[in-house]
Amino acid sequence: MGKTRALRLFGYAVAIALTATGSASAETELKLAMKAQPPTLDLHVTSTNTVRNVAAHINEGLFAFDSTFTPHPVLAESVDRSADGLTYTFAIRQGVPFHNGDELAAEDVVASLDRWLRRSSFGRTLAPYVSAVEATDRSTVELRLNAPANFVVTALSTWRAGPFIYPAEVIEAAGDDRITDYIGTGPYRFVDWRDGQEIRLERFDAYAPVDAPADGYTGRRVALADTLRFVFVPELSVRRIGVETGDFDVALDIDPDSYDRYQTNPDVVSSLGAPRMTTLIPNKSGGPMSDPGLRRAVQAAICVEDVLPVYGGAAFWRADPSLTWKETAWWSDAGSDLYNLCDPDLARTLAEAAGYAGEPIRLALSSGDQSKYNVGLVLEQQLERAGLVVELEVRDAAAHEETLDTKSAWDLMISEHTYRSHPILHSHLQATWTGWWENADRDALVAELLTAPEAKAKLIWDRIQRLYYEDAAVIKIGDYFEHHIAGDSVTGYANMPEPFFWNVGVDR
Amino acid sequence: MRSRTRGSRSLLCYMRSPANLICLSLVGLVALAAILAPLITPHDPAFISVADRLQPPSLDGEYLLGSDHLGRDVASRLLFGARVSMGVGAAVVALSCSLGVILGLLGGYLGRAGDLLMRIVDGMLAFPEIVLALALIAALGSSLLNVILALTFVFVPRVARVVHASVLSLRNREFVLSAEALGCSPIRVVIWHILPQALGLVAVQATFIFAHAVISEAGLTFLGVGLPPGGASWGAMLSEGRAHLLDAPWITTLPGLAIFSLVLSLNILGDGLRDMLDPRLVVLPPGRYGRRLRGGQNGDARASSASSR
Amino acid sequence: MSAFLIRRLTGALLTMLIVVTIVFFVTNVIPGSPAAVILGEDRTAEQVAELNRELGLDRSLPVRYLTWISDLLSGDLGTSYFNGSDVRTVILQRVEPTLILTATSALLAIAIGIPLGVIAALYRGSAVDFAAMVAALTAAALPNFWLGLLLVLLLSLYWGIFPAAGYVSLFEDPGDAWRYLVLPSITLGASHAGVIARIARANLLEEMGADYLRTARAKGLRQRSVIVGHALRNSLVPTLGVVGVAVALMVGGSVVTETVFAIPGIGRLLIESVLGRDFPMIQGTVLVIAVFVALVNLLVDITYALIDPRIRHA
Repeated sequence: MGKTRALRLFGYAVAIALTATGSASAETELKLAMKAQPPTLDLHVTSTNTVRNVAAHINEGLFAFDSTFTPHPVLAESVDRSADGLTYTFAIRQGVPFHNGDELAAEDVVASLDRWLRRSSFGRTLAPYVSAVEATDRSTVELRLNAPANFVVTALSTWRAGPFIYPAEVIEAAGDDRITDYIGTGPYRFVDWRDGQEIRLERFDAYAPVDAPADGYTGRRVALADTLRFVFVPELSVRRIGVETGDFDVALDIDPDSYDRYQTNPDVVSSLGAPRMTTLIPNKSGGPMSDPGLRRAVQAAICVEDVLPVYGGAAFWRADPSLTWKETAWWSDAGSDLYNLCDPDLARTLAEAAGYAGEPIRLALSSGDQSKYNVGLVLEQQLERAGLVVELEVRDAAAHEETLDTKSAWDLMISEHTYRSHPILHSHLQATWTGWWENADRDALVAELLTAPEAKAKLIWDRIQRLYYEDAAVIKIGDYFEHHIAGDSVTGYANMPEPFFWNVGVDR
Repeated sequence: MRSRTRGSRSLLCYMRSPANLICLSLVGLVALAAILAPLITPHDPAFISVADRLQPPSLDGEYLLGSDHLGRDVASRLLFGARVSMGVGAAVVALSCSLGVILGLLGGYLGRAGDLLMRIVDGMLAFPEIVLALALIAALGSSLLNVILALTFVFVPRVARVVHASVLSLRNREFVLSAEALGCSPIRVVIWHILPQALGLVAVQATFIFAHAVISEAGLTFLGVGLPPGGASWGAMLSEGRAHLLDAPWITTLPGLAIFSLVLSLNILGDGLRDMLDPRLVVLPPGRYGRRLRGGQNGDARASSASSR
Repeated sequence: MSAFLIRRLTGALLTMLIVVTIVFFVTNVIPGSPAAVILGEDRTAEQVAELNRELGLDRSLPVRYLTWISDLLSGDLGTSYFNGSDVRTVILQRVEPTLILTATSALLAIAIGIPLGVIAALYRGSAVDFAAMVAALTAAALPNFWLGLLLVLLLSLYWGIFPAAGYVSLFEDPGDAWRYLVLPSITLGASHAGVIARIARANLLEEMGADYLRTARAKGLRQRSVIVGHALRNSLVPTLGVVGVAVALMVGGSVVTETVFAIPGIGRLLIESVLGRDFPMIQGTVLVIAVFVALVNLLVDITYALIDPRIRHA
């Protein structure tokens, strides 16, 4: 029932996107309840959910993914890659106005990309390969690399902490600070932010859509609702009740357990959101977990089928060995013989072989994040069963995050990775990320991966993933889905991993 | 001597009131549950069994009061939660009363420095306690010990104020003056003459502080800054269970009821205790409220019943 | 009167300074990094160091304290770490909901508490008295975080009378605004209504036992009018003082109530700031609460002094 409903919705989405003319008859407003206020609407500086939920309606990037996660141009018209693979030439779309009335030009793109390469965590992944970003004329931008890197367009299509385009003067005005002048080219423009209460966006009447059918994040974007109101509602049950009673149209980040209940409730449409990935990250820089032998013992002790149900019913999780998502072409089962071993005896043997003598292993958890916390409790039980001594160290969110930045402060932590389309965007692939995985083989393979032709790249990734497993650098638990609900009057929700609300209407 | 006979007679009266008796047995029952929890719980309160999650209460099933979102037994957690609530309450009462008594006596005997001390105490009293406790616990970190320390810090001024007021009112009373005239040292006077008089008032305060501590611990945990969520405490059960309020109401209803009845009983017991000590007062107006009423000793004597704020 | 006022004002200022200083040092030794919260899961050490410099967190604690105090004296509360906005502006935006919620809760607490207490006192010892006091005790013992959720469940989801959460300003749409205020006001006001009822009862009973009333009664006035005319009026003075204290305490309760009902007030700002390690915002919020509490207390003191001249010289 739920799946057919979701499919039907998807059908509506396509139908509406194809036929919509952009003029809604009556004044319509979409009220969206989200759990927290975003720290900023500056998309370059953070990959936080709340920021992308709102700001992705205001700003657009050069590229975006369609429903099969293939990049398509949005603000770019086309891209041309030189034969040596070192120069990318982007033609910028003409006649696209910013919300302040200025027309998008190459200099805006250059300023935005420059800032993104400096400020965004994903931008910094690309930055070492980039030697220059230059405007060659008003509508052409050239990106030159110092070494071939085959993920340029993919990186430019990212959504979280992605290379969204702001006017050059907004970027200049922000200097080294966060952007506070929220101007973009998107179908909605920023109107009002009432601190602690709501952010209001309104349709941008002069919006210049891409001339192609809507597909995933790409194609024609139409602001069907006149106003988007993002309301901050911290209590989960209150967000749910709000949708059930019609006070809100959509509620984001809802507990998966309510999914089954909504299958029989005709007033509420329940949808699976972005797939995410839960991993156990050992601290490889020091302490007991710096010993790969003990890491393999931990790996052997874990039974993912006893962990993943904390994410709700069977529709909400899947046991999957891949460190890349099933939704992408990078999916791989390399190393899966070491996944989900669920063998406490083997774990005990491995631990003994590694000379483990009951030293406490500190599992750092945040009290502010219930699902990771629950995963931690189950894992503690499983590791203890294998004779490992686990100490839970629970801190509130801010103290926990700071702990993770300190090499000597923790041994194990749990991470829930947000969806990403290319393995290079994985933070744990960088030796500088918390967990500190330094490995020369990995470095050599990554260099190879970035220069390899597409057909070969996948095989290299398989080898990298095998390395992850053999070194037990990141211990994969499984995938799970976000859960969002909407009232039955909401139409056209496309249900891509990142929620968005253009092409979404509401009939009252 | 005279006061002692009066005291024991009032105690009899106190016990004869059915309301007091019921409340006393309820508090006793919770205390008993706290002590016996490891012996009488059907399950390990921390044992996770995700296959059994969100089982509704059932008389013939494995989980009498149902299971929570991790498949832990609600009944067992409820019993172990009594340990946390009673433990936090008792520890906060013990610490804040002993510290408060010392501060109150110092405030009464230190002259100008004492006045300054009481100024600070007054300043802290006027401040909403949850705001202060919140900042303190955030600084100290989430743990049982830190919750106790933060709540102690918050409640000490209340005891100090009551003791200080009775020192001031007693210092010029005849029996104290005559003891001093007979050459008793101030410490002796305080211990043998002033403290016994003030202790009754402290006991009344202790009851209300107990109730307040229980409710504050739960409130702070609910806000995400109290006890770490994994432990079996009523506040943590409410806080974790509220995500399942609509589908599994049993997780939150029972700890909510438990907190409510414990606080209610303690309030009624405190009322009774104060009426016994000061029969002139018919009903006790709560606490820092009391300070406003008349000022001085009577005002403090009416000190506060716990309300959830 | 002016000497009294000066004494009270210095007291209030001292209180504020103490509380604010405690909070400054407490919040600044909190372990936890605002930078980590702002940057999200993919941050690097370099980004964290950069942001710390940007936020001024690389300076020493006394330097930060002195800067903060001198800025404070010039009316500048600093800049939020979290979203870079001006703390004073944010607080001013968020004061209104808390003030309105506190006012409606106080009105509710008075409107229920005082009549309940008076009726209980008039029918002292009867079933009415008993029922009223049971209600008052119950209200005072209900944990408000639990009460709030139960009210949403019952009155919003099952009966659909009031909206589950949110806030509409009284100044923008008064016709709609009140609907959003009912449940939070009950949540915040219930315990205080219980307390006020019991105090109103106690004060009235005490007044009814007072000597001058016996005199009045002896003069032959009918008992009922005696009670209404003299005792009630006299007993209301201390009771109203208690209401003042209740108002100050409600600000603390607003932390929980505003979280449950998604009201963008000062209380929720405080807990958000504590969880996000937004030091300037925590300090600013606590300062504003301290000022508010001090003002309410001052107002209560002045009211007393006006009514009862003896207090002025106490």
